Amino acid sequence: MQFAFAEQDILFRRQVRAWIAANKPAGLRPDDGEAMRAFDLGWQRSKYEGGWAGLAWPREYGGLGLSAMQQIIWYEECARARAPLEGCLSICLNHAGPTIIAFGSEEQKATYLPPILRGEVVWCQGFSEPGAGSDLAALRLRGEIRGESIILNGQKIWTSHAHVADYQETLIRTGALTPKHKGLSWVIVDMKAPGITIRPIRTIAHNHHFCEVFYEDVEVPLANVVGAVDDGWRVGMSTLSFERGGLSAGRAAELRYLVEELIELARETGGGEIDGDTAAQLARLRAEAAALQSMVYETVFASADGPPGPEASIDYLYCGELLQRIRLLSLEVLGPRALEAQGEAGRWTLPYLNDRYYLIAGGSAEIRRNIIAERVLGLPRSY
Amino acid sequence: MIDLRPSPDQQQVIDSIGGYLRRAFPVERFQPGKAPETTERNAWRELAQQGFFGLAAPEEVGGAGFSVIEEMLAQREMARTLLSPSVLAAGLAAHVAHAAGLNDLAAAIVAGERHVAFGSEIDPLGAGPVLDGILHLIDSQAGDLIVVMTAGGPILFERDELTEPAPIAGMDETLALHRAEARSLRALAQAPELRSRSTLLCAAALLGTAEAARDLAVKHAGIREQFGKPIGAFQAVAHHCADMELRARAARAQTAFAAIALADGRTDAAFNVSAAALVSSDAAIRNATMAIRVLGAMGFTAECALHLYLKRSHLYELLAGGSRVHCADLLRHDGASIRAAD
Repeated sequence: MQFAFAEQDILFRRQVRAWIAANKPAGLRPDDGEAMRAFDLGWQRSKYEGGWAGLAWPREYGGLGLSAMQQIIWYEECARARAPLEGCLSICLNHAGPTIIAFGSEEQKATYLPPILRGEVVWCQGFSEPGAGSDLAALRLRGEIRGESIILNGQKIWTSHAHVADYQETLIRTGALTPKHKGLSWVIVDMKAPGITIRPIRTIAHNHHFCEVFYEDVEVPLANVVGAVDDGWRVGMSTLSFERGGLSAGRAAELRYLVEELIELARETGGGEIDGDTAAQLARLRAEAAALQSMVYETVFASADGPPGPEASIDYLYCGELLQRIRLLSLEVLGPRALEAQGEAGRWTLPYLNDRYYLIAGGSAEIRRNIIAERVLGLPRSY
Repeated sequence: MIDLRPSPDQQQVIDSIGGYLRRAFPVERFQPGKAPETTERNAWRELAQQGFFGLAAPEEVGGAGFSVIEEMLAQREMARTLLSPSVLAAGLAAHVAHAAGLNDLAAAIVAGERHVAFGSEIDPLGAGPVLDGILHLIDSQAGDLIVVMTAGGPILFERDELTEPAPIAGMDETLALHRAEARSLRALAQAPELRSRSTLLCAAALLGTAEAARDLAVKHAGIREQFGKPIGAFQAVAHHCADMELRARAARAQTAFAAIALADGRTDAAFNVSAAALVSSDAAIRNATMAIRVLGAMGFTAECALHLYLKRSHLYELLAGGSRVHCADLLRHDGASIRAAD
């Protein structure tokens, strides 16, 4: 057991810290629409110009090929400087791009990868459908192959940032409905293609985080299939991200700072004093945020060079549930101001509403518990 | 280099201690109507020969000279087999005696020549060296040394110096409980600098307890059948088990990090030890609670070891210093002490 940073890691941290301090975007990140898109693309362009684009991507594809330790340092420093993460570029940087690197043709790589790193495009992920959420493989969006094209008909839903996206990584059904994991294909869809209708959905947090997307005779070139036709489940579900836990380390660090901000808020609200009950809860949150960070360190370095195993799912669940406790306590601390959704109070109340998506999106808390029970504890399948 | 898992050498320590304890002190020894053949007290010399009291004591007092990390890992194993907390008390007492320059006493403890037991404050004893107050004695007998965690860190004194220890019925019937009073009692040794170490080792005991409770529940959920399938195939049960794993994992990682922080003399060691105590207490008490539920009526019987894990959880939580104290301590640290990195 050890926890020590090598000389080169310490140097690297200094370098990252200095660069972020000098280059992080000014002002708060808008949480919706074109303003959000422009903000996230601008930050990615700065990183590209500064030589910090594609942290985890292999060097041959224009990335930096950072080690797990370096990725952790990068994200921790972002958290420390309150610099934004990838925002709506997370899908292309951490999923679509790495998928194309792993399964794409040379032409697909040359066409789609460079604009991602340069901060020119936004991608969204067309996976969930009205009848396919936790049971994703039940998806039905029909893709009919006609000559050199695929014709899409059907619907996606809960597609984050579809209304500001240029491309979509889309799982479609090119084969039979059963067996459900077979017969799926992973395609690149141009969001400007005729026949696509995007309807943003207003969330409980006053924004349009996600959309419904309708496809009516949308023509996609067959050449846009990544990997083989009917092999989309394997292509989409492989944990391809080169991200080695840096993001979860960044989230853990963000939570530690968030608890500190909440302690500050409690001090200010109480005129320098924190009442006993709140103090005890804050102390527990501090302890749990420290534990989360320790868990992430354990997970990242236990998985060596491979992608994190089911343990990453445990850490994410712990993180998500801890975040809910922090957010709930923040409303208690705000007191009567908890009714306000703007100004200082809004900095707490809107995330209080928004952050509950952590227990729903990308594998609900319940699905994650299934995974822990089955894959970590060896219990029989319960679903 | 960051690695929060045991190294191969450390794993060997875990396997060897765990293996010995499962043979010599199986959990089944506590089943009702079975008087355990081997008790910690009558096997005290053997435990000394196995090195239990001097794992991390320096060689000059007969110790094995391991670091606090191995000591933490060993303590986790001891709690899993429900070993008497007196074994931890002895290890701690050796440290306290050595820190106070009482090397002969430390050597006698390491060699198993003195029995040691924990005391737990009821009416605080004060910061020493002269002590006044009321305390519980855990699994003690006349002639023992007593080690108590006080506001001034762990202290060591002779049980025979206490006023009339009176036996009282305890929640955990496997550990004799006494109530006693200290009147102008002079401590043999006091070691404020061992406060974090003492807390960490109790956190390790809580971690082992949390894991043992989880393991019993998971095993049962995989075997016990109702409605034609193992109850672990029902999400209501499976998710309780997943939560036990979640809590145990948080406790394990934080206790590991705290041990490293203490071994390396990091400035955030005290913070991380308090965090480990808090997270591990929570894991132990809640895992034992849920495990009893998962085992149903069987979990409610004295035949099943789960009640002992629950009772030990509460004991170690107190011995760790108490969650209320750790909450207060945790909030006293300033924001700058929160970073693990840098």
